[in-house]
Amino acid sequence: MSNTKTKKNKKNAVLFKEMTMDMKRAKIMVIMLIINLVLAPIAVGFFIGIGTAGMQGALSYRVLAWYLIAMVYVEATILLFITPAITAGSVSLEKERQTLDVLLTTRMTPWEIIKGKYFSNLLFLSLMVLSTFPLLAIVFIYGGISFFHLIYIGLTLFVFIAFISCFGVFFSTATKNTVLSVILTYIFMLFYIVVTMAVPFILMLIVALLNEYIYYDKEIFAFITDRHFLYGDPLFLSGTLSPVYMIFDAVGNSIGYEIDGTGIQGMISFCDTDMLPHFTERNLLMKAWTPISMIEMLLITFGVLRLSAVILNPVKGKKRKKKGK
Amino acid sequence: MIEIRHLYKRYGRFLALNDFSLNVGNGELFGFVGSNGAGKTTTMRICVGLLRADGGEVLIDGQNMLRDHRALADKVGYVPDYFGVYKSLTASEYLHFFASAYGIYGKEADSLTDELLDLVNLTTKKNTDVNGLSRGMKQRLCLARGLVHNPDILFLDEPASGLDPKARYELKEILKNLSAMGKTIIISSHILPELAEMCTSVGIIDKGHLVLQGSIEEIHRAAAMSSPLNLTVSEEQIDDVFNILKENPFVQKVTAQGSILKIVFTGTKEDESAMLNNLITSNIRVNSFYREEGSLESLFMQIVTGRNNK
Repeated sequence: MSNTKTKKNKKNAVLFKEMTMDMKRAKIMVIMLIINLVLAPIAVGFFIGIGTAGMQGALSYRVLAWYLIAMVYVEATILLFITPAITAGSVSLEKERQTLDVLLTTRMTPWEIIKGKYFSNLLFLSLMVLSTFPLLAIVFIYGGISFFHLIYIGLTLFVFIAFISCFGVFFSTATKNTVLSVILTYIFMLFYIVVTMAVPFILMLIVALLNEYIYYDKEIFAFITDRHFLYGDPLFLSGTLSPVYMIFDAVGNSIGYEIDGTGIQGMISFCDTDMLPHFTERNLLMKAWTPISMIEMLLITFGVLRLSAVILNPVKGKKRKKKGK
Repeated sequence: MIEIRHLYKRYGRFLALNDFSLNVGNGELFGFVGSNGAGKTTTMRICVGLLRADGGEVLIDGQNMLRDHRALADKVGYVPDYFGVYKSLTASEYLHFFASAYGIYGKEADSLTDELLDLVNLTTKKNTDVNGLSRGMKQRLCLARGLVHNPDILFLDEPASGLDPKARYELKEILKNLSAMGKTIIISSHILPELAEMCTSVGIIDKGHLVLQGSIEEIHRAAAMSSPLNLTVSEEQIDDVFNILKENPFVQKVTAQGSILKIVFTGTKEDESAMLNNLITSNIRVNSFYREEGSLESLFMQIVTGRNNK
């Protein structure tokens, strides 16, 4: 002890502890088992369906696509409910155990603690997603779906959990109680998802009503073809802030491109209007919907985590001494 | 050396620290005495960077380290008045985790953990879950955690509270060893006789203000001076004694219990001698004259009660 000198932290102690020591817990295995048990019946149903269809000689690409779409939607829904439950206790549990204070007096900065908590949760959730891949990869037996499509969907699901996790960590930091933190995370996510799904359509409706008001003699969607009308299409891009639309578009544009009503374009065409003529298949923004969405969500995630670190800092507002000064 | 200068801290309307200043020299085992809510924990939490002061500064070796998180973390260790343990970890894993939080890994962390467990007499509990340790063992483990980065200064907030006499004795012995190793230890406690026994200096805090600070000898002297003088005379001379004492400017109060008079006296030893001499020359037959043994506890009570009366 007498010769011990502290050094620069090479690895994040919180992340390391949670990945090595806490991963041993049975809870982790149980959660993985549950998610796979929910998805497995769909896979079994698919096999039975394929078997029947195969006998009749009517197996088509659409069957495989619908299987994968169903699996992704079910998995995304499970993740939407599991992620807040897992992440919303990350910091508040430290407060309840009264270990946060002693952690804050170590060399670890609040930002490092937040990163450790966040990435340990994210790694666990990613592992959970990864554990379901064999069930998704069943489609490779029959072909038609490329490996790239599966990776692309996996990446989207990763951003999806990364995005939801940051709010769990945020509310966990902002509150002292885990139950309260979990409830707030669910309420916020519900609110966020509903609002971001509704806002693009509300904005388009407002634009349409304004045009109708200004150009009362024209029909409501005349502004689409008349360039003198208010042009509101880019406002529809506000929908890229929705994690649900992101999954929807990723699935629709990769595996569901031959199926009507999947993906954002499919959804628009499903509305059976010419609401958004500029968002066609040839439109670059339309094609880049999911990547735009991913970038936005990762930026929001970073911002929310930085905010969490500020909240966690017990001496916030105090200027840190910079090196060399 | 720790210099706390004009510290202020307010929680809403409650002023927890009011122009609090304190100096603790290197290698001291400093006892921090105060009633609940006096400001001990607030002071400690500010010193270890867990709380922001509304005013004032804390200098460690002349530097304001509260502005530099890592430098402060390297310099001080903190053991709060609660355990703060991960119950699912073993004692060894717990110390390994905190060692890695200070950038100590691998074999160095292994040997450090063994050394610390040996220091706090927990070697046999190395692979025991923290949950399975007794209160005293948990407290010792927490002390080991506070020492994991070999800090120069150790802040201990009520470390002996809730411990049985044996555990308190063991903790006291460990603290004495650490003090002998040259660590500066600041310890707050309600168990004043124990503080008086092991500390090299003591400070009394009341209502967020330091009201007394000094070496343990000075405090003992002050404590002794604060206790009443006992004078035993023959009962028929009591009225004469009262008349003589009434004229002495250092006599604050005299109460009689039979032939024993208890005198609250504020003068020096010389003044005491002069008073006794005056009694004898006035033909008072003095059977006994002595000062009651003073204690840190009685001094503390006298200061706190006196300030409350004000």
